[in-house]
Formats: sequence, C-alpha cells, structure tokens
Amino acid sequence: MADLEGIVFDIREWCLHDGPGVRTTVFLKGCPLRCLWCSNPEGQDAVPFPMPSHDRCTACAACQHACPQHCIPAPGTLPGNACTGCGACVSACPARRLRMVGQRITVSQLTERLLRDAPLLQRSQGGITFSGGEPLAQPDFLLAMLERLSPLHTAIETSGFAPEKRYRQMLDRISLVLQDIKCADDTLHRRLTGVSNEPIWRNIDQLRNSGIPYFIRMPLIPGFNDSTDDLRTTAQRLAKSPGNLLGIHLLPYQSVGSAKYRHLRRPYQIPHELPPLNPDIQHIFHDASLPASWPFGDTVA
Amino acid sequence: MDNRIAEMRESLLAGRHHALRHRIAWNLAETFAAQKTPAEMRAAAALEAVLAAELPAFLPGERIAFLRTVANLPELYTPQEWEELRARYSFSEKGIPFNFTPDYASAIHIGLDALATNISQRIEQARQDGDSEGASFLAAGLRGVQAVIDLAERYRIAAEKEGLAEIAANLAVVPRKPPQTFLQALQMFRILHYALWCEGSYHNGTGRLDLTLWPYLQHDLQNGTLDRASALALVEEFFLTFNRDSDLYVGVQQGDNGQSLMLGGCDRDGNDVWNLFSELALEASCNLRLVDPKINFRVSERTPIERLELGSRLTRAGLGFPQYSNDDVILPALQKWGYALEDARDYTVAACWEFVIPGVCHEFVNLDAISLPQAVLETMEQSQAADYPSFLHDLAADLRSRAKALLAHYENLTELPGPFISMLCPIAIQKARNITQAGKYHNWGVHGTGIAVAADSLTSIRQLVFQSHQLTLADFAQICKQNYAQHQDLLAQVRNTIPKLGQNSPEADRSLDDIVALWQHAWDGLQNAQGGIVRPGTGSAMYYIWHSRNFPATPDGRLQGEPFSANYSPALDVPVDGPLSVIRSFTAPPLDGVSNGGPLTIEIHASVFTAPDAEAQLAQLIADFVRRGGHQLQLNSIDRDTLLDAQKHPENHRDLIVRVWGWSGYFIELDKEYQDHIIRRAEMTLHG
Repeated sequence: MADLEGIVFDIREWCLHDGPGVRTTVFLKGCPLRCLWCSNPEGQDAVPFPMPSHDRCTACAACQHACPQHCIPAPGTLPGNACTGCGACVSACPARRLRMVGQRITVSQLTERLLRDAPLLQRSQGGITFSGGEPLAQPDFLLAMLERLSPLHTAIETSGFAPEKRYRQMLDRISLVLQDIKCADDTLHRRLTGVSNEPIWRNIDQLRNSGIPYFIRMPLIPGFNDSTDDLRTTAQRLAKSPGNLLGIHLLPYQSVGSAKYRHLRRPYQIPHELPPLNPDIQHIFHDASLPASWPFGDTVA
Repeated sequence: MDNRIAEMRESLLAGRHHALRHRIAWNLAETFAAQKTPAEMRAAAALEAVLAAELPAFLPGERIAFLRTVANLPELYTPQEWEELRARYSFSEKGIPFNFTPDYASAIHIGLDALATNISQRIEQARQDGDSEGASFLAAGLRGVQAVIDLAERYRIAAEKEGLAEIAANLAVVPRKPPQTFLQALQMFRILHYALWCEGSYHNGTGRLDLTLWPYLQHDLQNGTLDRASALALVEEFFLTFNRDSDLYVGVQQGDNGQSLMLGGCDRDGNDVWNLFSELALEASCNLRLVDPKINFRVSERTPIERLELGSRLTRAGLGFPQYSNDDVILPALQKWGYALEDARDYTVAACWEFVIPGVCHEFVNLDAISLPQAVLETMEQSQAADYPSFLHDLAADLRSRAKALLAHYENLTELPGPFISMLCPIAIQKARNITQAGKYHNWGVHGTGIAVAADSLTSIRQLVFQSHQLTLADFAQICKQNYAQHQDLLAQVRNTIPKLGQNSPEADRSLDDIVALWQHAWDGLQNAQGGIVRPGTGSAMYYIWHSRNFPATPDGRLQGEPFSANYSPALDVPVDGPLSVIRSFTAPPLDGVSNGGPLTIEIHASVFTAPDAEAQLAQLIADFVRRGGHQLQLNSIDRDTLLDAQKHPENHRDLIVRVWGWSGYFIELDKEYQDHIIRRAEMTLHG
C-alpha cells in the first residue's frame, strides 16, 4: 500500500483536554466548516501556508526576496494565491516571525513520531487524539493512521460533517469520539458555521448506534448558540437514544482565536463584549437526564 | 487555612510587623580591629550583641514566637581589614557561611543545655590536648549558644508578662531542653533558624524537615493531642515564620534567600521517607501561597504516583515549586564523587538546587560559574580543527584551561568562621573547628552557564562548518562577533533550519551529549585547594543574566546581549515540540557526572490546569522525567498576560509569585531585567 501523505498543522504533546490520560494531539489541516468563533482558523484551508506568528517583524523583506512565486505583497504579510506552501519565506526570516501552517507528512513518518511516546501514553491510559481542522476532511489519511496506531487508544475530535461512509469507517477504528454539536437548528447552524447540520446529526445517529464511547462537546458562545429553546431541542434529540454517551462537555467560549484572525487579516465576527451566558444550560441537559458538565471551567475567557 | 492563620498571613504580607524593627549604628568592627580580636570571637561577640539588642516581640495570634527586631547586622571587619583580607585570600561571596544546611536535629533532640555541656566538655578536652585554637573556637560557639538561651529566657519572661501563657510555657522547655511536643519542636527550630541569620549566615536551608520533625508530630498524633487539622494549622504557622524576616534576607534579588526545605527520599539506612509531615508541608504551602519555605521533593522510580500528584497540586498553585530531584541519579552521582552511601542518602539542597549533605560538611557548592557559550566562541576563534571531533578536542582543552584557571583563582579560598552554625554540626564540635574545615567533604561546585546555547551552537557548527562546509570556524566566529550584521541570511538559516534542543531531533540532542561530556570531563582529576574535587553542575544561578550581558551573538542564532536560558533548559525563543520532547532532549546525556545541581525548567501555561485531571497527568510527566534519568526538575505554572499586567500595575499583583532561577520570589520585587526574562520564558509556555 502506498504511503499516504497528509497535511498536519500541529502536533501537540501532553494534551490534557482531548481525552483520557496523557495524549498527543494531531491537528489535521482543512475543515468544511467556518465556525465564527473557530480558535484554529489557520487550520481551515486545506493547504499549507506561512503565517506571521509574532509581532516582531523587522520589515527586512527577506521573505519577499526568498519567495520563488513573488507572491508576498509586503514584508511579513500573508502570501497571495500563488503561494505553493514551499516554506522558503519561513526559512528566510531572520526574526523567526513566520510559521509554516501545515506540513506534508506520510503515514509512516507520523506513525513513527507518535509511537515514540507510546509507553508513556499507555502507562497513563492515554493515547493519540486527531483534531483539526476537521480530521475527516482527510479521510484516507486518517483511516490509515488509525489502522497503524492500533492498539494505542485513539480519539477523534470531530464536527461530524463528513460522508456517512467515512464516518462509519472511522467508527470501526476509533476508541473514543469527541463529537461537537454547535446547535440544533439547521438555519442557525448554517449561519454560524456555513454548513447544514443534517449530515452531522445523521452521523451522530451512527455514533449512538455504534456502541463506541463518546462525549458530546458544545462550545457555547453567549448570544449565539446558548438559547434555551435550541439547547432543549439538542438535549431531547440526544436523550432519545444516547448510546454509549459518557458525558456532555460544555465548553466556555475562548477568545484565543482572535489574535490569529488579525494575523490572517480576516474579520473576527464575535464581538468583544458578550451578553451573559445562559445560566440554565446545565439544567437543560440534566432535565433530560443527560450528564452535562463544565469540565474545563465555566469562565468566559 | 483557618481565620487565625489567614489573618496572620495577611498581616505579614502587609508588613505591619516592620514597625517593630529598629536599626543600630554598630561600630563593633572598629573595636575588634583596635583590639585585634580573633575572627571566631568577633563572630561570637557580634551574635551576642545582636541577640542582646533584640526586643522580644509577639505578633497577634501567634503560637510560635521570635521575630527579628534588629534590622541590620554589625560589620565584623573594617573596610581596611577587608582590603587586607581580600589581598591575602579569595572568598566565596561574602566570605561567611552560606548555602548551607546544618544538622538542626542534633541540637533539637538534646536541647541547648546538653549541647552546651557537650561543648564545654570538648573545650576541656581541647585544652588538655593543647589545642588552643580549637578551644577558642568552641568557646566562641558556646557564647553563641548561651546568647540564644539568654534571649529565649527574655522572650519567656516577656510572654509571661503579656499573658501569652502557651508561648511562655513552651519557652520554659525549649530551647534549653528537648521539645516534648510538636509545637515545641517547631518553636525550637524557629529559634535556631532565626539565630543563624543573626550570626550573619545566609541562604540557610532548612534541610529534611519530614525527618527532623516527624518524631514530634508522630508523638502528638499518637497521644491524641493533635489531629490532622490541628497539625496542619501548626505547619502553616511554622511556614509563616519563614516569611516574617525574609525581607531582611536579601540575595542577588529579593526572595533569593535559600530557605529551602526537602521532603521525601530515603533515610541514612535507605528506608523510604514519607509521612504526614511531608503531606502537610505540601498542603500548607499550597494553602499559604507564599515564597517561603521553598519546597523540594526527592523522588525516584519507586515513588508512588499519588505522591507526585500531591506535588502537582502544589505546582498548580503557581509558586514554582516543588522542585524535584531524582534519587536514582543523585545518589550514584554523589557516591561517584566520593560521598559515603549513608551520607549520599541524606542529601538535601543547599539553597537553590545544589545537592549537599546536611550537618556533616560545608562545601562551596555555589563557588562560581563558567560560561559554556564563551568557551565555544573562543574555541572557534582559535581552533584549526578540520573535523568535528577535532573541534570537540579543542573545546575540551579550552574548558580544561578555564577549569584550571578557576582553581588557581581560588587557591587561597577561605571562609570566616561561623561558630554558632558550627555548633549545630556535631562533626565541628568533635573536631573543634569551623564546619568548613571540620567537614567530612571539601568539594566545590561550579555551574556551567548557557548549556543550551552551547549545545545548539555545536549543532550549527557541526552542520555548517564540518558537514556542508558552508563557512569556516573563524568566519563563523567573526560573524557572531559582528552580531550577524550583513549576514541576516545566515541568521535565518541557523534559527530556522538547524535543529535545536526540545525539537525531537537526535542531531540536536547529540550536541547536548557532547557538551555535557566535555563539561564533566573538564574537571577530571583536578583537586581543589581544600583537597576535594570539583562537582560540575547544570545550574546557572544569576549568571544566565550576568554572562550573557554584552556577550556576542552565538552560532545558534542568539544575538548579542540576548539572555541565556536559566539552568538546564531550552534556549529562549526556540519553539519546542512540547514537554515530552524537551524531557527527551534533556535526559539524553548521562547526568550523573554533572549533578552539582541545576534543574530542567519547564514552563506550563496556567490554563493547563483547567483540565480536571491535570495533576494526574503532570505526575505522569514527572514520572517520565525520572524514568528517563533526569536529575532535577522545576515546573512553573505561569501566564504571560498576568506578568505583563503586573509590570504595568504592580499594585494589583502584590502576591504574584514566580520562579526566578532556583528560588521563588514576588514578581513585582524583581529588577526589570529578571522580570523581562520571565516574560520571555512565558512566551514559550506549553499549553497542554
């Protein structure tokens, strides 16, 4: 079998928020959603590109001179469409201001890198988590990786926006699913993420029927997706047949992504001042007999 | 923390007790000089004078007494005498005992009356032996012991007058008699520790308190006079006492006072040490969130993970401790350096992180430092090496000559006596000499600064000079001296394409292995002026700032004047892959030859601790470090935004504690240079 190549934009060691035990989280590049609050906007596009990472540009123009496509309009800025992701500008920056978002890596290379820490991951009952972007946006690469990493514990953090067949294939190989739900209402979902949530709910149905343990994760942005009605609908749909649901993680909104939007020269659409968060969220799920909690705190950062 | 402790803590932080202090216009030195008073008698007379000038004072609510009311200590020598002394001798720092942990237990277990009797008998013996020097030294020590007893008696009377019955009753027992309760043991420790500072000794470590104090706590638990909660309150109050006078204990920076405490490990017979005191110490420190005492924790592959989780809870509090040391590395290292097994088993840290054996010796473990990047850069200028092994050979020769020069510089190293502190060391009484001379071991410790910069520089040199032949050693050295001016392309290349420590690169890790081996072997076979050896270490103390100021750029892409990283840690501004990669890099070399002390420091972003099982996973990280053969580990939880805000609005961050190099201090009390260094470290925190 050919050694498939994928695009990874980060590998983080000792991740504590992405499943049990000590975990290494792999961020696969590319996502079909455009969530307004996305904290990894640099992971949305499928291709690698250079991103300014610090505010220390000395305007030396080394990046412009190094670019074989001549597509960097000004020192330390994002490249134009002709960028091939070759990384010449990143290597040329004496101020270490540029960071390559996304590197091509083969299944074998990534497996070797991840298995390096296998003893520690196993000792702590941890493993590997695939996040993104949307890991299922690189389905062949993801599935090949899951094959290779067996018998390590594997988890996926997914929007669930993927063809049913791909999602099912993933379920056949995964140990734990961290399944996102943004909201129940499809119109609202389209407005917040750019896509319909119908395919997501179909995949959630597969998930509940699979017997695979899973957590639901809900990023809650005050005034955007915390209305009682919508949350109640979500709770009712989940409560019908929860399958192997381990819990619902309520995630407070984090504004950490906003600086990245500035670097990416993209507008950040979540306002600085937000209304107070709906105080009833946890009750709504408890009323439906669902185990919901704020495992990482409920403070709005 | 109950209300009483909380109020005492608040009052301490507000410094209300500073109003009880007075300054004295001392002029003892002039009298001593005129009378040609011998050194040990100067120390004794000065301690007597300070303790006599002390005014018994009690803080509201306290159960453990003794507060410094004399704000300044007398000079023992006139400036002219100092000039003469320095012309004849070299000194380590102030030339008096420091960075040292005496054997508190030896005095606590018998009481000062019995100690005085022992000393008197030994004086008699010395006189009979014709050892007048010894007799005089012991007599000086005895004067100190008596002065402490006298002050305690004045405290007792004052307590009685003020209706402080419990304190008065305790002082009727200690320090003269052995403590009968845990509280009395704490009171006695407090008195001894307080008296050491009054003698002028500084960076006084507390040693292994879960060994020293456990018998008393155990006794009270067994007879039912204490339970866990009441014992915790006592430990909390005891810990508060270390913060009463600490503003008078100024080191290079405020907070650098060496009040380090060691928990865990094994006893002299090899038995595991862990008891309720160990647990209460971690808990008390966590509750109080104060810079003193600084907690150290001896661990090994056999340490249960639950203990590491307790330690992690304290790390979460953001105080920069506990600091861990790995017995599996340190015990063999100390034995290799000639320490007897039972002494090695008793090790603690001197002040920051230097490993010392309490009570049996006073070694100069923090004598000086050698800049490893300087050795690399200067070797580049001189070397004609045609290949990398030859370059390493030249670098080894350079380090060797620096080692010899350092030893030559300290050929006349001496120390002025500390008679009282010596009386807390049975071996000093037995030999009737200052502990520095009387001690069982006479090894020195020297730090190797900038180890990551040196290692990363070796990788650049190997790849660019000897593999790709892109430039010569001399050219590279010249470019560094010119701060990469006109060579920004090379700067970008070394920064972005040459692998660094912490980046999962065997190529980079190999360089650390090289520099560690060279640093270790630079001292092989060399003897110091006291007849001991030199123990190289991976600490930096404050030299990471001092050695890098104005120091030229280096082959790793560090620019002129940019600071080195503190201790044994990745270079600043290097994007590392994560804590597992950092631990891999820094445990790659065998460390038992460079274990004078100096921790790997990992900065963890405070947000990591929002994960519900963060403490358990941090414990796994520590266990991994231990298993891989790391020697010492310091974990800091920090948040850059908070630090920046504290620089702007210090008034809002009075309590913000940060780890500096081997100690924790209040951020707002540090010089800006040290604050900025911590902020740069915080930029590279690991988010988990």
